[in-house]
Amino acid sequence: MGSGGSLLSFIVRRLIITIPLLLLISFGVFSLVLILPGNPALLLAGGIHSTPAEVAKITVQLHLNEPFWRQYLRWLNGIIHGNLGRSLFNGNPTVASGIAERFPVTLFLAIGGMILSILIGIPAGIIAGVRAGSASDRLVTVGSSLGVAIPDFWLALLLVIVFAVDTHVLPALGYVEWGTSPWGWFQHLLLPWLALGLGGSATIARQVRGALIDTLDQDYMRTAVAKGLSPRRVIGKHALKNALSPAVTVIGIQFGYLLGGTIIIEQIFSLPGIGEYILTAISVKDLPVIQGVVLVTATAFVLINLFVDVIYGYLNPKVRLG
Amino acid sequence: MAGSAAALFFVPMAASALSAGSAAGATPSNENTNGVLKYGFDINDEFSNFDPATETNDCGYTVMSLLYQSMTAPGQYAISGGVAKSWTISPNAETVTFTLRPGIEFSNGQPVTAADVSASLLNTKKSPLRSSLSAIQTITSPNPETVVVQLSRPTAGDFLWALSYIDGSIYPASTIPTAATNPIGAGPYVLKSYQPGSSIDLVKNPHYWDSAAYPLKAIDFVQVGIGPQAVSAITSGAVDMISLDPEQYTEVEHDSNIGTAITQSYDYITLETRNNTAPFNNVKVRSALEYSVNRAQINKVVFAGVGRPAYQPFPSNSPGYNKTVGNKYVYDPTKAKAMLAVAGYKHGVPFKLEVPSGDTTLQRLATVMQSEMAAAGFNASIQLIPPSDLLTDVYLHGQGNALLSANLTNGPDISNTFESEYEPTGFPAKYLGTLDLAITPDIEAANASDAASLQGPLMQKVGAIVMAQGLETPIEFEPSIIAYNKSVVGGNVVAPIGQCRSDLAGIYVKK
Amino acid sequence: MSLIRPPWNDDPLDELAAPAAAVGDVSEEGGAARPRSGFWHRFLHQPFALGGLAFLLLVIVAAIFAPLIAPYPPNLQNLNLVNAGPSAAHWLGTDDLGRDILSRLIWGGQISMRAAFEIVGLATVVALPVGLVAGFFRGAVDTVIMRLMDAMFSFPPLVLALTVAALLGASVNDTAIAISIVFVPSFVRVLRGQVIAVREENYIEAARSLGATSNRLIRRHIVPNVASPLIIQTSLALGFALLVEAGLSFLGIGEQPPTPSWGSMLNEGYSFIFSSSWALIFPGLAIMLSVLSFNLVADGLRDSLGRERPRKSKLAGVTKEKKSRLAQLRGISPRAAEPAPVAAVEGTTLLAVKNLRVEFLTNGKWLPVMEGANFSVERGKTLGLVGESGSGKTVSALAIMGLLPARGCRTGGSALFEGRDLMRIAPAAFRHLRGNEISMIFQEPMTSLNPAYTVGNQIAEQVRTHRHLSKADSWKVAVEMLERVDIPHAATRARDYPHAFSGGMRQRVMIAMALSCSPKLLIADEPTTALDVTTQAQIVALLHSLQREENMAMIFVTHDLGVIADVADDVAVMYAGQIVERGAGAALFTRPRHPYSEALLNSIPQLTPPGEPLHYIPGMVPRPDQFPRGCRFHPRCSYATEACITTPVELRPPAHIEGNGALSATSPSGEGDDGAGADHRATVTLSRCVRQDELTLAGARAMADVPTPAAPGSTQGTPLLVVRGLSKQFPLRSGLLQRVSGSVNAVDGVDLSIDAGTTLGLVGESGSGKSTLARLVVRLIEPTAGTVVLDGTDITALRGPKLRRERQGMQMVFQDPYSSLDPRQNILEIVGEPLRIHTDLNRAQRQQRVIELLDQVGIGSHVLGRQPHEFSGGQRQRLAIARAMALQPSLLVCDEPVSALDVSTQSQVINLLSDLQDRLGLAYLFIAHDLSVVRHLSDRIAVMYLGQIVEEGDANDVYTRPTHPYTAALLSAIPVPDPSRQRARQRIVLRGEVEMSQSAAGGCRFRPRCPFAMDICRTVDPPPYTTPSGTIVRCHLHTTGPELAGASVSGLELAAPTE
Repeated sequence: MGSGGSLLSFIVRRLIITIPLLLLISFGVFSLVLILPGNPALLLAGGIHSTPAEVAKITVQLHLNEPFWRQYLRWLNGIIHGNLGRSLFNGNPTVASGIAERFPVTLFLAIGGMILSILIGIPAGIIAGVRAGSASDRLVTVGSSLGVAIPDFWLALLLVIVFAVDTHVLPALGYVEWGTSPWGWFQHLLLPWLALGLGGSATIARQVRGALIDTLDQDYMRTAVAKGLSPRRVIGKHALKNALSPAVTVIGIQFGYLLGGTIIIEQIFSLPGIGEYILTAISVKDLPVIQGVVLVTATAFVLINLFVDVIYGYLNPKVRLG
Repeated sequence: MAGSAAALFFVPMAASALSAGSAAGATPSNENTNGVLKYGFDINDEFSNFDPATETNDCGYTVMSLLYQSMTAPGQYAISGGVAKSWTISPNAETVTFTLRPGIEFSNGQPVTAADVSASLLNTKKSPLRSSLSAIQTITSPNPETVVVQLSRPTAGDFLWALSYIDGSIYPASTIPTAATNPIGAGPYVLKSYQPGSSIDLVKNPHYWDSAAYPLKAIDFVQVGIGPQAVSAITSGAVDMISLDPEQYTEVEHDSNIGTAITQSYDYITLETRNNTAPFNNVKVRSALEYSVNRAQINKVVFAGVGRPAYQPFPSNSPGYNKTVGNKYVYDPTKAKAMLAVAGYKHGVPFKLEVPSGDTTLQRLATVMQSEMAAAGFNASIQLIPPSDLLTDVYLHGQGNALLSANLTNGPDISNTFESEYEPTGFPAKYLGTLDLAITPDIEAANASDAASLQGPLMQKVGAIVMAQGLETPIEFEPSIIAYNKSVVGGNVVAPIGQCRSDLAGIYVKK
Repeated sequence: MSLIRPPWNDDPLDELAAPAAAVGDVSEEGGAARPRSGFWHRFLHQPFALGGLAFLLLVIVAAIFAPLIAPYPPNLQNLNLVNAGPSAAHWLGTDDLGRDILSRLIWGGQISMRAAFEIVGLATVVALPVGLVAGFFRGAVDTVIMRLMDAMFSFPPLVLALTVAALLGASVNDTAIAISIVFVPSFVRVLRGQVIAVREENYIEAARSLGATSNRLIRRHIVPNVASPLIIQTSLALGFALLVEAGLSFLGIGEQPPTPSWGSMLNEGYSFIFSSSWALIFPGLAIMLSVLSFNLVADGLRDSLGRERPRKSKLAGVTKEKKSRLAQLRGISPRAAEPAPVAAVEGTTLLAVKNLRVEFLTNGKWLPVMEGANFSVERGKTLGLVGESGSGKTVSALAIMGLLPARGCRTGGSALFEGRDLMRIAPAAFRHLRGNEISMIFQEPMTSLNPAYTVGNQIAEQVRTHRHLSKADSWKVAVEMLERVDIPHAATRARDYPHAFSGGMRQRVMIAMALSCSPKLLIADEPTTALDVTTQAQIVALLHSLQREENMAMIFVTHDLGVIADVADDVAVMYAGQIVERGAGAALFTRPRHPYSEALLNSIPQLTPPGEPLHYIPGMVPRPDQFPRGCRFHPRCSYATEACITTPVELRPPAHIEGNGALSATSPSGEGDDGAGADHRATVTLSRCVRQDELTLAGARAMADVPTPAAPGSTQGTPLLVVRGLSKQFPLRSGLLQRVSGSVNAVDGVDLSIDAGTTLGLVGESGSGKSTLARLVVRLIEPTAGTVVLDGTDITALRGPKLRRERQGMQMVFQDPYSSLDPRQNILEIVGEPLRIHTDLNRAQRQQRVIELLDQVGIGSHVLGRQPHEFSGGQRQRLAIARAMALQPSLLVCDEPVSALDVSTQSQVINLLSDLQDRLGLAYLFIAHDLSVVRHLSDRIAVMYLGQIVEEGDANDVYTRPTHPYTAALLSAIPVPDPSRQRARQRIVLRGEVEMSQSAAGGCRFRPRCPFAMDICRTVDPPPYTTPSGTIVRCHLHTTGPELAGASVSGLELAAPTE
């Protein structure tokens, strides 16, 4: 099929599309400045104790007197050089370092939640889809309907009450570095992963179930049976690869929800991730931090989806052409 | 009610009430000499960096006070020595002459010199956050043990109290550029490691001048958010000690494994009214408001019964407490209603009550108050406002008729809050119209001295005016609550005077 | 056609359901529009969705009437009873300020529900126009919008909502705005996708060709058709909005205290979770149950609205039923209904099917779709199974293969394959046979290969399963098999995925796979139905040669008697679940013994002389629950007598044989042919007709021998449509950046003219550009070059209102009757649409006219209020014709109007068109890939190949004396329903298939496939040449020299099927 169909050129094409997308995102992020009420210079100048001269000085320091597009280009230029600017507060540490310190926690949290939801959701979806109409299917269907409907933070609170406080089985909160104690790290993240992942697993299970039922109804499944393959092979090889490709897209989107959902979950479990960072920044209108965090999470989301697209392309040769 | 960011902009020089240097030197037999105290703390929200000049968060002092020794140290009614062993005030209250503590060293072993003191204070002064030092005109050092500070205003007393707080932290001149990440101070502990938003680990400073007062070998500050997380942290054993909000106190008070210590603070929650526009430009309305709040019930419901109702700006143990005013403004909705009718508000006074968001205690307080005040004819509609918007929205843009806020006093420095509230230079005074020139002379006189005996009567006078004029409606003196794990923490646990401080002298970890 | 559900239920192709019955579970009578009744009926039968709806209504009603219902005011504090558990006074307990939780929940519902509806409403208001514009206009607008949406979509939803909410402020309205921003991109995406899907439907093209404006298209067709998915999406979004709102409220962004919302209640309860969890649990439950309810309602809506959505129909118009194929996957054959004796099978018989019975469970009743079928297949021979759709032929094939679902289906009888009864064999043993000794190929090559694996992998897998070869060896076998089925460059093509193959090539792959283990029996289920005639000829020839090589037996299922004549040794004709005639193939065609067989032969178009109406079998195959008593065919039989109506008939040999006693006596149980030896099967024809001995039925030869009357002289009328140099290029994208790298000349310099009242037939394989040409003519797409003159007016340059006015004279009928009628409109609206657009008739006048039109196409006026899904394919095509006729056009462009119809229905529609032409003097541009259909209707025929007309002339001339090798090949590919002639005739089997040449590379386009290709064909594009008989041809055989031309022309004539 020539170059158009190879996985590599598909990946390259996806990468090329990603660049303008990221630019667009960066513009959107920077535009947050437009809806921000209040004047950061005034806050920095000491609030109620500020003098007009101080305010003016800080305004110039922050380039707030420049036209919007120049501020944007300056910021963009910084980003390209790995510089996300400096926090307005806290002794002005760089946003990049602030994110670098916290993002791994959020990423562990989101990826762990994702893995958990995949580990639960895909098998559950497969069981339900293969045995559509059976008791186990009904169990999965009802369970996943509930799972989708449960607010994740509420689930988190219930988990805390049950596991952490009433039974002391798992730590209720806090974070331990992997380097300090891998087991501690795992223990501390398990409840947050559950809180985040159960809802996701419900969504994935529903998707897999639906896709599998659709796939099982395809003509090529009949072909596979007619070939004399064993049921295991019919499902495991012929149905799954096709049924999983729509699920993969859902997983990508799900990751976005997880990245967002971590904000509340980090609050509840006192995890030092990016969610806490942005909540604090929002409460004091620390714009560079808000912009930095939003940009980084959006970029992470885009990259994850790029990765997901590649998997999708692997599973579904047809999309490589498009 | 741990240090909401609201406090940041109003009282940047709030002070600590460390009862320093009072601990016994003897080592108790069950002390674990290698023990580490896990202290629950909202690092993420209440700490930003180690530079005393740029640390934005009042609550950062919880950690900073253990790393840095300030020039002076606060006590119940008076300040005591810190880096400065003693001082004298010139008669015009514009010059303070400090004598440095002999032999005092930084944690890196370097001696604390007059040059370091001068450099520290001048550096800190540059920060817009530390305007308490703005009065410094010059700093001279006639000899290595002496530092002379010349002030531009006769506010020596006020200045000395400010130096007991973070503003007075002393650090080596050479480490100023790196202070934010690599703090070197003369405090009882030194920084071992820091994970932003996650943990701050301290170990004992071998060079500390009063080492015996601090038996703890190490302190790990562990990230715990404000709120119910604090309860799960302490009950699950994730931390050994933590400061609690009143709501959380009720969750642990009956837990036999958890000990609690409560100290009545001078910080109080107050209702600031906008006195320059209707309805609160009418003194009769303001007076009626004083009678419309059931402080006793609030103490019981909102503060778990461990706070103290604030019927005037000073608690009864303060030299500023006015016995004549006493508990005069006890809840009396009928009287308030009648007063409103006289003032021309037969059908009640609707008003917008601004409440800083993200603070459960204030939110619950507002809700209870709303219902109490409704009975007295005040119909408040609550509006939550992010702390960062208070300055612009409430002050500059005049949003709302009243603001519920926490007045962090500088500990026992009793004249402190009145400066911004009622003095011509004060920001609220200017924008809320709470300026009252009648009290200016008394505050100025009080600022000159650091003697409680002098300040007390002056503030009693001011307090009476504040209440009579209804300049504000004090509601509750906040309790400072510490919860600790009885099986881990030894020694006499004392909650610090006021929020956002730590008092770990004499505390040890049991074997 | 997949057979999970009984085929009569959902199969749009067969005309077997009478219109009234096709209405299905919807009420029978009354002409009023009932667009929703089906929906409600379905929705009300879904307990979960109903439960969800009930809960939501409860919450919403309670919230609205909160002041009346809530036991306490929401903010009433009882500070003496804080954090109390449920009690008589406070059913759900009290919160931290002693407020009644139940009351706050009821009031909180007001805020939370309002917020959810605000959020979704706002998002819809923004997304609706954006999505419509992007999907409808596509192009640059679409690109810009979608890139923006991609960017918005890239923000994790909660992060975006939180940031915007925090920056906007804390009021509930601002929060709603912030959250709605999160919903916009996904709404736009869904909507756009739906709009694009709907836009592809023919009814949009149809409306446009009627002269509808974009505005009207969007308003009347697009919006109603995307409404269902939008409603479903909305319901899901409401649940999600509730969750997001709760999340933000929990973080303290949203409604101001003390006003409760469910999220803020959670926030308040959070502080006291350890001492009292009631205040946390109940609001959480309220949120969860509401979200669950929204989702359940959405699921219910999806199930109830889904079926009204336009059917995605393939070429053949076959829809897929949804149900698990679990049984097949487990390899379990449906359980036998009754035991049957197992008898030994004689030497040459490979498969002996005895008393085969298949029943489907329908509405709680077991209905037989096939009963008492007896037939056998000899080694190396082919048995043809023939019949209309719904006759039971595919069901029988699947039953033998064990591919019927276990649920809702049961079988009886036996199928002895080399002594093993396939009806009772253990699953594992059957697996060993399947794909190994018995293989099957299916009707739909496009969907029967797994898209996720390379074709080599799929073939090798089968080899490895049964032959236990190594990976490398099985791959080698796969490549060999691909070579054997004549796939060029087999070694490299083996690494391609199915989507890289054309339909014909895929069917070759299927055959390669099926034969990879040298099976003894191949079951071919309509293997060529979905293919072009030329490809069909290739596939049939291929199967034939492979069968000979392998000495393989074959069951060939088809509805096409022509193909059967080509391949079958024996034939079984099926009707309504029975075999009605069985015997040697040759005998069936020369002397059919059952009226149904005769009727089937009769309805083959090429057996009817041009100008005569085509024969057809009236009525349709009955549904199994409506099988008539007596002879099942009697209602449609022209020979039926009293006896046929009352007495069931059994399958038996002719009386003279029976009477001779040469065979065992017929038992009344219908086992008449039971002990019949194999040799008898080849010679004796059995028939299920009481009158078989008295009737003399006409065979194919007899029909074809009817002399061809002189062709209707091409009336030298005025040219109505004149097309000159019409071209259409489509850009071709390739490479990393999908840049335009070239172009395809889909239509390349076509000249045509059609006289008033005459028909020009246009034929060619798929991919030849016929449909593009049709769309160019009616101006649905813009030509790259050339002119279209209609009735003296050059319409090529017309735009806007002028073009819409001119469209009145020219209407189009589309191939797919399922997608050319708007499923959301009723018949009055559909047929009356052109009148609404172009006339100012009032409603009553319009209705009057619609009734006239329906009458013209033979549909009663009582259907005015019905919707398209209540009609069969043939009826829909009539409706489409009625709509096209509404404005009394002078030209009708018919794009394969009968290709998707059963042969009998096909005849009816062609007769209708022919009749309309006679009565109204219409001119037709009639497009088809089937030359025999075209010939029947056309005055002139044009043959198209790769965008060019390669031959155009008088219909009779082209059909009987083709001058272009391509025409000759097309003609010779048509199977002749007469085995002796079919086998005798010399055929040109075209190699390869239509290949999209990227541009005119020079030389003759047909050269690569032309058996007569010469050197000159390589370099010079043949110019048009007019033969003495007036045929215009583009072929060097006619231009390079008289001798050569003469020789080859005569050679071509040899290939013509009829003289």
